[in-house]
Amino acid sequence: MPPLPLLALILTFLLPALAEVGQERGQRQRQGREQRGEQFSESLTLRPLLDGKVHTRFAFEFSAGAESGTGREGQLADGDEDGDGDGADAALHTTLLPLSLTQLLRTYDARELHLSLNAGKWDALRWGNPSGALRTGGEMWAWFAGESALAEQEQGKEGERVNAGEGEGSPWQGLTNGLAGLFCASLSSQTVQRTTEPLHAFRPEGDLPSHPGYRLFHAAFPSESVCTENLTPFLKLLPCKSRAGIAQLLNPHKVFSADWHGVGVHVLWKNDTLGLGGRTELRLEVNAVFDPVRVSGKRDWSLRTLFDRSITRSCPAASSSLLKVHMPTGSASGHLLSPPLETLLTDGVPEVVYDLSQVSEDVDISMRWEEDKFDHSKAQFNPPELSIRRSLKGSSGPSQLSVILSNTLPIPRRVLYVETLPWFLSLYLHTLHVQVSGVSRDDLIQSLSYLPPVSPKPTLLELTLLLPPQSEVHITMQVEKGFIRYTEHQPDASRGWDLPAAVVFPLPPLGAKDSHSLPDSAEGSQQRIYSSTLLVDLPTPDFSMPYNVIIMSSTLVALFFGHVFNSLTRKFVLLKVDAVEPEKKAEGS
Amino acid sequence: MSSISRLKSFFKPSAGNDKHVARLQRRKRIYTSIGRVSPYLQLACYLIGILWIFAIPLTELGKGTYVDENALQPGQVSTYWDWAEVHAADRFLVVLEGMREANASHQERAAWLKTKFLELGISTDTQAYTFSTSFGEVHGVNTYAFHSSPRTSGAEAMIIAASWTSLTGDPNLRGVATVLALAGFLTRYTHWAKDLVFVISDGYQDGMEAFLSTYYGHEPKTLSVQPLTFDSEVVWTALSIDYPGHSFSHLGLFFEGLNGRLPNQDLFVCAQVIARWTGGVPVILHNTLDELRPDIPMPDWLQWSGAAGNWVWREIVNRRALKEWEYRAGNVAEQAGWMATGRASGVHGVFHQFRVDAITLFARPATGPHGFHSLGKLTESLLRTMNNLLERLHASFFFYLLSSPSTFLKIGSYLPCSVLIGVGCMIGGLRGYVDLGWERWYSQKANDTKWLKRPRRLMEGVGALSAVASVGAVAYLHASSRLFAPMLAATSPLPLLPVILTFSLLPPFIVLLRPDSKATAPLAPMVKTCLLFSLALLIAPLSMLNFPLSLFFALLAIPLSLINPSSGLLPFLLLALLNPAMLLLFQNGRDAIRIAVWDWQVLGAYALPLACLIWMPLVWVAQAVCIIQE
Repeated sequence: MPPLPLLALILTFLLPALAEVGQERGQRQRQGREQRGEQFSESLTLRPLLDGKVHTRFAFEFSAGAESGTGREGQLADGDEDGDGDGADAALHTTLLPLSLTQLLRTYDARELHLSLNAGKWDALRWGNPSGALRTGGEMWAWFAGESALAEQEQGKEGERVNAGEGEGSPWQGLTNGLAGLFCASLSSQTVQRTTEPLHAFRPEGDLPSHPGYRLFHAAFPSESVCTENLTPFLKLLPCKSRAGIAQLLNPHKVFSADWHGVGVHVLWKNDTLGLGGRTELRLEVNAVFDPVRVSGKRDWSLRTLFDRSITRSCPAASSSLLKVHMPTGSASGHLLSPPLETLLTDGVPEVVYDLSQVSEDVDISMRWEEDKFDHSKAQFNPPELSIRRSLKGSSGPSQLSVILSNTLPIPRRVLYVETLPWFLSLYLHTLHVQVSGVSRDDLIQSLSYLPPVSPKPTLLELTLLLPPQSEVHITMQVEKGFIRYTEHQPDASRGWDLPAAVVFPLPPLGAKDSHSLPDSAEGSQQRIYSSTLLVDLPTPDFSMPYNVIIMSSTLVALFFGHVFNSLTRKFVLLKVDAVEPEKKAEGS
Repeated sequence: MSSISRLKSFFKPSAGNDKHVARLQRRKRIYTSIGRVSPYLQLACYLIGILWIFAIPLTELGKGTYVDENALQPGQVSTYWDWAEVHAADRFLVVLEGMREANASHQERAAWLKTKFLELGISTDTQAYTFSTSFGEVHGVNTYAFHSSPRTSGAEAMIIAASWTSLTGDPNLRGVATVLALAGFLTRYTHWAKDLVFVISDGYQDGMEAFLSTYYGHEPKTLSVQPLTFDSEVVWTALSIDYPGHSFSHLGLFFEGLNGRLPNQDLFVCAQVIARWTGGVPVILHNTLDELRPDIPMPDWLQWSGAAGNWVWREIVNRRALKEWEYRAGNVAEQAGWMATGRASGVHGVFHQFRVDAITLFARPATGPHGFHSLGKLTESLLRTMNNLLERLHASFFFYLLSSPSTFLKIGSYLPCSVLIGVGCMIGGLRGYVDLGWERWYSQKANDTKWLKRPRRLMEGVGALSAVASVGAVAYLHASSRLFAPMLAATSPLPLLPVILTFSLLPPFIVLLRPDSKATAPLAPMVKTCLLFSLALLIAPLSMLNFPLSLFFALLAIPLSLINPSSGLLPFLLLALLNPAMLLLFQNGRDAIRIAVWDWQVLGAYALPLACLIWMPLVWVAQAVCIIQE
C-alpha cells in the first residue's frame, strides 16, 4: 500500500477524536485558569460611521488577580513579595498574561501603562469621539512607584534602583527601551526630548496602591508610525496568536491599508471592592477605520471584504468571544445585517451581539444597504460636543499657535488643555490670549501651569478653561522658533519637526466633588480629545553646502587675521619719499 | 626694451635704494595709473555688461535642464486617469458653462461648487472676501475643499487650484472642471502622503491671495475675509490649472511669482518632463510657441545690392543661429519682464511669498488635439511626483533664467552683466570722491601747480540726495490715493498733464533751496558721486534677489552716470524723459500703472513703491546734478 493514502486514512479516523480531546482539554484549562484568577476575553466592535466608513475595534482583555500571590498591593500578579528576589521564577506562573510584557512591567515597577501607536488623522466630526487613544503617532504614559514608594520597597530589596527620574538608567527609560524592543517601535531614540510629567492630565485610569509618591511620565512620539512589524509582536502576546478567535481577522495587508489604524496596550490595576487585593487588567486593542465606499461606491461591508479573512474557529483560551455590531441610527436608507439577530440596547446604543465562543463553520457577518450608491451629500454630521483645532500660522518670523476649542453644548464646560512643545519652540506666555467671537476673555482661564523648556526637555502647558455654552474659544500664543545645533538635526530628509497633538480633557463642573480628577467614560478610559499633529519648519542649513560655507568663512577669517596681524607686527618709521610727480594725486599715498 | 622689463621697471623704480621707499613709490605709481585708466575702466565695465546682456540668449551659455532632487522621480508612475474622469469633467463643464451663460453671481457659483465637493464626500466650505483699494472694493467668494489623506498624520498638504478667471482674462471653466474631476478622482486613492486641498479661487489672483492670507494668518488691513474652517497645514508645492479654451495644443508653463520670486526649478522641470513623456503634450514657456521665425524675404529696396546683399540676407538675417537667438531672447525677455515689474504671471505667483513652490499649467487654447484626458493624466502624474517629496525643495535651484523649455542659464552665466555695470558705477563714484578731495593750486610766484587737500561736502551731497529722494514719498502717496485712481481711466493724457509735469520737473529744484556754503569744493560732483554710490549699492545686491530688476536699474544707471555736473537745462529735460511719470502719456503706460497700483494694493507687488520711491528719485537726483550751479 502506498504510504500516503494510508496516512490519510489514519488521519480521517483520528482527527475528530483528537479535536474532541483538544476541545475538552481547552475547556478544562480554561476552568483551571479562571480558578487561578486569570481570564482572557476578546471582542470585536464594528461601528458603521456616518460617512460610510466602518470603525472596527478589537479588544483583547486579560485580567489576573493578585490574591494568588502573597498580595502586595499593586504588584502585578506575581509572587515576588517575600523579598527573596526570585521574581523571575515567580513570573513564570502566569499562564495567559503575556510573560514578556508582565516581566517588563514588574522589573520597572510600572503600575499603570498606556502605549498606543496610531497612523492617520482621526476625524472627530465624522467619526465621533470614542474614548481611548486617538492620537496620531505614538503615545506612552506610565505611573511608576515614585521615590517614597521605592524607598519603601527597597527595604526588602537591594538598593539597585535609586534613579527615579527620566534620565539614563531610570525605570521610565528602561520601560521605554523594553517596550520599544518588544513592539519593534523606535520609542527610545528621543525619550528625553519627549518626556513630560503632567501635573493635572493623564490621571490613572485604574487605581493606584495607597502608597504615596507615584510618578507619572508621559511621552508623545508624533512621527512614530505603525506597521506590520508592530502588529506581529503584538499578536504574539495573544494566547491564540492570530490562529483562532477574532484575532484571525487581523490581516496586516488590510488593517494597514485602512484610513486610520493603530494598536494599543493598556495595563491597569484595579482594587477589589473589599480593598484587600486587586486585579491587574491588560487590554490589547487594535483599531481601524475602513472605507468600503472608496472600494465599491457603496457602504456594504462584510468581514470578508474588510479583512479578506473570516473566523474559522474560536479561541479556546477565551472566556468570552463577542462580535458586536452597532446598528446605525438616523439613516434614511435601510440596511440588512446577516446573519440577522435581535438588536439589543446597550448604554443607549442599539447593537447586535454575536457570540463566537463556539464556532463550527466559517463566520462571515455582513451588512448591506438598500441603495445603489452611497450619496455623500446626504450624510449629516453632528458636530462633537467638544472639539479642538490647532494650527501654526506665519511663514516667517515668530509664528502664532492658534487653538480653537468649541463647545456645542448649551452648558458651560470645564476642560483641561494640555500642550507639549519641544524645547526649540519657545512659547511666550505673555502673548497668551483667549478670545470668544472677537472679544477678549482672558478670565476664562481658571488655572495655568507651565514648565518652561530646558533643552532638551520639552515645554508643558496645562490650562484649565471654562468654555461658555455653544461657543468657540480662540487661544493664541506667539511661538518663537529657535536654532538647533548642527548635530541635533535629524539625519534623514528634513521634513520638519512634528509637534505632538494637544490634548483636551473634559472636567467635571467646578462645584462637583474632587474637581481635579478626570471623569471616566463608560468604557473605563478617560475621554481625551486630541488635536492633529503639526509640522514646524525650523531654519535648516542646506546640508549639501557645508563645504562652501567652510571655505567662505575660512577665507574671511584668514583675510581678517592677515590684516590684523600685519598691522600689529608692522614697524612704523618715517621715510622721505621723493615726489614722483603724479599727474593726479591718489588718496593714501 | 621688452615688455617684461618695462613692466619690471614700472614696478621697481630705480630711485632710492631703500626698499621701503621703493615700495611707497611703487604704490603711488599704481594708484596713479589706476586713477588714469579709471574712466576707461568704467566705460569698459558698461560696455562688457551691455554686450553680456546680448550674449544671454546664446545657446552656448545655456545648459540643459535636469532634475536635481532625487526624491521627485518624475513620470515614474502608472496613471489611472481615464475617460470616465474625462466624462465627469465634461459633466461639470456643462453646468459651469450654463452658469457663465446665466451670469451667475459669485455666491451662486461658490454654492454650486460647494455642493459638488460635498457630493464627492470631501469637506468643503466657501470664503467670501473683500479687498478695499483706491479703485473701490474687490469682492469674491472662494470655494475650497479639504481631503484628509488616509493613513497620514495630516501635517502636510498639497494645493491644487484653479482661479475662476484665466490668465487670458476669459473664464477658466475647463480649469475649474478639471479640478473638480481631479477631486473626485484623486481622493479614491490611498497612496497620498500629503493631504489634498482643492481651491477654486474667485477672480484672478485676488481670490487666491485672500485664501492664502487667511491660510497663513497674514491678513492685510485692506482685506476683510471669512476664516477658514479647517486647520492650516504645511504646504511645500502647489499647482494652478488654467484651461480657458476649448482644447489645447501646447502646455504653457508659467512660473514667475510676485516680486520676482521664482519657484524651485525642479518643479518646473518635473512638469516639463511629465507633460512631455506621460501626457504627450509639447511644453512651451508662457504662451510663446517654440518655433523659429520664418525667413524674412529680402525687401525690394535692397535688391540693388546684388550678391553681397543676398549673402548678408542669407548668412546673417536668415541665419538659423540668429533665429534661435531671437526665440531665446524672447523667452528670457518675457521672464525678465514679469520679474522686473514684480508681477505674477499666473495664480501660482501668490504662493511664493509663503515659501510654497507653485507653477501654473496653462493649456494654450487651440483647436486640438489635447483636452481633459491629457491634462488630467499629466496633472495626476505631477501630483504623484510632488507627493514623493520628503523635504521642502531646497537645492539652490531658485536662480535661473529659462531660455527655452529645456535649457536654462545658471546664475553664474547671467549675473555678471548687471554686476559689471554696478562695478562701473562704483569705479566712477570712487574716482569722483577722490577727485573732490584735491584741488590744483597754481602759484604764480613759483610758476608751479600744487595739489592741495580740500574738505569734501559729503554731508551736503547726501543731504541734497535725500531731500530730492524724499519727494518720492509724496509721489507714492499721490499714486496710491483715491484721487489718482480715477484719473488713470482717462483716455487722453491731458488731465494727467499737471501730474506728469509736476513729478518730472519740479522735485529736483529742491536743491536750490540749500543754505549758502563758503566751501570751495563744488556740490554738483558730490551729489553725482553720491548718486553713483547709491546706484552701485543698489544694483549689485539686487542682482542676487531679482536679476531682471537689477538689470533694469543697471541700464538706467548708464545714462544717469554719464551726465556732466552743472550741465544745464538740456540734459535736465532729456533726463525727465526717463521719469516713470512719462508712462502716463501713453495709453499702455496708463494701463500698466493702473495694474501696478492694483497689484500693490491687493497683492503687494512692489512695482508702484519701487517706481515712486527709487526709480523717480534716482532720475530727480541726476536732474538736480544738472541744475546745481556753483
